[in-house]
Amino acid sequence: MSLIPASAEQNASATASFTPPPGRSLWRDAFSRLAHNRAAVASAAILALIVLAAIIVPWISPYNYYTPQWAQLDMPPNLHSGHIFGTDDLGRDLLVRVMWGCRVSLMIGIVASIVSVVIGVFWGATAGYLGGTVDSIMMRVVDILYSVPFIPFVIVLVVIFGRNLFLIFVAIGAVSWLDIARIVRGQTLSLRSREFIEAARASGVRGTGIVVRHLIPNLLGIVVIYATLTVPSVILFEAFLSFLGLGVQAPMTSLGVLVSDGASELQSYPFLLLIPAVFLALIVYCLNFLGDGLSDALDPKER
Amino acid sequence: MTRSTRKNADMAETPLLEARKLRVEFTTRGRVVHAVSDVDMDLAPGEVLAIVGESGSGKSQMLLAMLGLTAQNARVTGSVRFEGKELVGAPESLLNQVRGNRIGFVFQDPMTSLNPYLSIGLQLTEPLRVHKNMGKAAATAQAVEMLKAVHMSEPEQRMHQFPHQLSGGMRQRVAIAMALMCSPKILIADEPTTALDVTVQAQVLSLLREIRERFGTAVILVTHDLGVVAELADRVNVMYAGRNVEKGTAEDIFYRCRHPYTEALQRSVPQLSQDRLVRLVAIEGNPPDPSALPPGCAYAPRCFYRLENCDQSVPPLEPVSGAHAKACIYEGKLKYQGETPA
Amino acid sequence: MSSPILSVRDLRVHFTLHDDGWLSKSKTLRAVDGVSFDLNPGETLGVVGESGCGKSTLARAILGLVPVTSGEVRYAGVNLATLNPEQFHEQRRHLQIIFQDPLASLDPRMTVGQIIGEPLRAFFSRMSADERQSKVLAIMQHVGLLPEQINRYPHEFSGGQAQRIGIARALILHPDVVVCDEPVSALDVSIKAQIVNLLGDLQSKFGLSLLFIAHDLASVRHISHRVLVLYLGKIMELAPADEIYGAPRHPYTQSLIQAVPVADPQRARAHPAKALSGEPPSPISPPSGCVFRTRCPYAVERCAVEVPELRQVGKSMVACHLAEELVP
Repeated sequence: MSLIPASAEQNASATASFTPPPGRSLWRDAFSRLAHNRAAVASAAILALIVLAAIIVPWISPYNYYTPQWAQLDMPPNLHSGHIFGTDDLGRDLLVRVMWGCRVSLMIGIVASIVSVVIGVFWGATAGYLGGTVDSIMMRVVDILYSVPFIPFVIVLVVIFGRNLFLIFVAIGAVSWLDIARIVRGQTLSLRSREFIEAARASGVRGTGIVVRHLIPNLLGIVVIYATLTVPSVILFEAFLSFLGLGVQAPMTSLGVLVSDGASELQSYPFLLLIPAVFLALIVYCLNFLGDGLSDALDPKER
Repeated sequence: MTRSTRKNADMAETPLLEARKLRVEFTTRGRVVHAVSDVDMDLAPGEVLAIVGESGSGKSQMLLAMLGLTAQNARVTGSVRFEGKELVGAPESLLNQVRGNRIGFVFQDPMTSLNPYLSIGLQLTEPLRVHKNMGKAAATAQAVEMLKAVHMSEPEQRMHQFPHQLSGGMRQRVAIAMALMCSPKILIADEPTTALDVTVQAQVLSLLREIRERFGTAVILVTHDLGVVAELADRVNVMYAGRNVEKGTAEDIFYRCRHPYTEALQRSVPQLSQDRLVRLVAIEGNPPDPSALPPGCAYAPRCFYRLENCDQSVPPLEPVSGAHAKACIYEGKLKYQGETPA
Repeated sequence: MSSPILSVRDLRVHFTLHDDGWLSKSKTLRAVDGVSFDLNPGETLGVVGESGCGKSTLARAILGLVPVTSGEVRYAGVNLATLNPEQFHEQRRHLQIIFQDPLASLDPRMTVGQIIGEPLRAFFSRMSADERQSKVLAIMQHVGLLPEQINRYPHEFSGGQAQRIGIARALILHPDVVVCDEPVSALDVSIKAQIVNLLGDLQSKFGLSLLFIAHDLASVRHISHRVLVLYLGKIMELAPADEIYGAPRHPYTQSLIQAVPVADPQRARAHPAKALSGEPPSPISPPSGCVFRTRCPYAVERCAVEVPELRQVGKSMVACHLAEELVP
């Protein structure tokens, strides 16, 4: 039942083989805005450097992070001695330990964030999209979890399961998904009433199609922003747990453990606290600046 | 006294507001956006001047520039004299004395121009308290009087209500009342009826007419609706791509227009009185990008009467007769000139 | 005379509002309250009304985008309410919609090609990408878009061009009925005419039946064969376009016409736009009897008691007790 006049069809098939020029997508716009944000770019560069160092330094260093060197306890930072950052109270090279600490903190930060983002997005998008009673119930679950006192919860977990890395992931993930769930739900609710969703329904697109082709691409922006901002809070949280003695088990270390250890020696060997603290602060600052920059870049009002 | 004779009498007095070579530019990321270029404007006491243009014509930016309300990254040059005082580049203290006090402003969307958190009464009395140092009781009494003047039903009760409790038409009346509180010499209205239904629009138009009669306030009316222009305006400035392309009395513009854009605008708007089977004469193409204006006449790419020289340089605004001027080098007769859309 | 392609009978769309919390009594918003009309093949029916009259809700109810409280919507004789979701989905391809705000109705993250091609994906999932692209390019040509624009994003277009994308999307399935919900209201004056002309051309080219909804009487009249006037969810008058403007019989229609400012200064001075007094009542608590009586200059006692029926008076259908006496 083609009502298109024949000539147009012919024109169309002639042009079907041509490759049209690409358009300027919103992601490209956002990326260019981000690239102009000096704080964000500097932060990204610093983070990249830290990640690079964290990967390379332990590899190439003659020292490892766990063997005590009884002859070289608590040596201060000295470029010539081979221990650039000095050694800790067991004679272990601080540089390597700090780099390992960065590795662990970043890994926990990223992995736990990914897990919590995935859970949070799924939870929030479902609640927002289905609405009504399902939404109410799902959000009440979030509210209840919010009110669980967190430290006692972690302590209970540690008492039952002992201290292991996996547990840290679970504990942190169990809490950080709540914020994202709320945000994604809010965003989904507001997207749902946007006209282009109505238009998609009128075009015959059904439930799954709408979620996959329309909701998710439009949610990505806010998810990326919040994922980036979740990482520093997770890292700090892990540091907090480690400070309380509930985090990773020795001799494995994280920035939190290093800070905790350094704090007890603050009077006599301040560098043991200061150096890991500086790295921790730097990572957290940079992630926050980056997250801020992303938020400005992706915010449609900026257009 | 017809509108044109009143206008002639008033022009003998000094203009109330005088703009010369007004220019507004924005610089964003290396590109310069020419929002308003070399616009001259005169407003006599008690007259209604309509500024007609579409989005991108610069009409709103021009108004904001006159009152020093443009964005941070805007550069305003030229001169705007109000009662002899220069407003461009004037210190905030001077502008604050003028804004809301000697010049009232009504925005397009009353939902966003009224503060949703403050009661109507508070918002109405604010200009009086700020500019005239009036006490609460006196200010409230005047506010109620003003609500009566704008034909608001139950004025005393309205004082305690909030914007969201009122309909669009009522909110716009409140906005107009607010702009008039300090008895300004000029009322500037930026598309005051665009967001309103047609029956409510008629009420607001009638109100504006009444205000002009009763208080002698001069009105600068920015709009894209030619019907609104015909109802209220004494004189009209037509803007396109940041420039004034034609100006004159309402009769000049509607019955004797000389710029192709003005003509095309009139021809493309369907009129109730027209024979409905007449095909609308659409203006092909799109308005130009204000950051990439062509070297010649900005309207040339869409112009029916285009000549070779049109792309060479921007045509200056030249007088046709009396107050009627056009910025166009085409001297011939326009196709529909002189025919009112019958 | 062939049978109507779209037939609406006593359509009602009511929304229940729970303003003040769980314990308050719920209120009913009667957005559409008993609307009946036919749309004939190849015809344009204009729908005119001001804010709150229910025209947008009517558009969405016909397309199944909002739930219908009661009444019938028949497409080609088939009552859409009786269909199961699968069958309803099949019918969607014959009824399409163009929205008011072009930029809001286009997904900002999708390219023009993807937006226009989406209905094809929804109904012809087996169609190859190449075939889809050629169909998209064909329809783009009909609406005046250039082939190289196919990978651009909505925000790269001006209002008028973006509306063409919306029109292309609505037409790619070759529907019989297209509901145009204020398609030119958000556009600049100089672009409105382009789009109105385009819709007229496409209608004759593809044999479409249009439901043209607007608040701008002049545009509606220009493109429509018949016009329907809505007020507070009810039809006030339904008449051929020439009658509506030449000889309006309902007081509301008359007020609407008199309120439109004319672009002619001398005429405006002689006959300025006449305002209709009062404010539109709330659709939550409409007046008893004739809903227009609170603002009607001719209202009599009967108007408060009895809801006027839509009946034939001359060439028009009018819902007014006094229709015969009121000389247009």
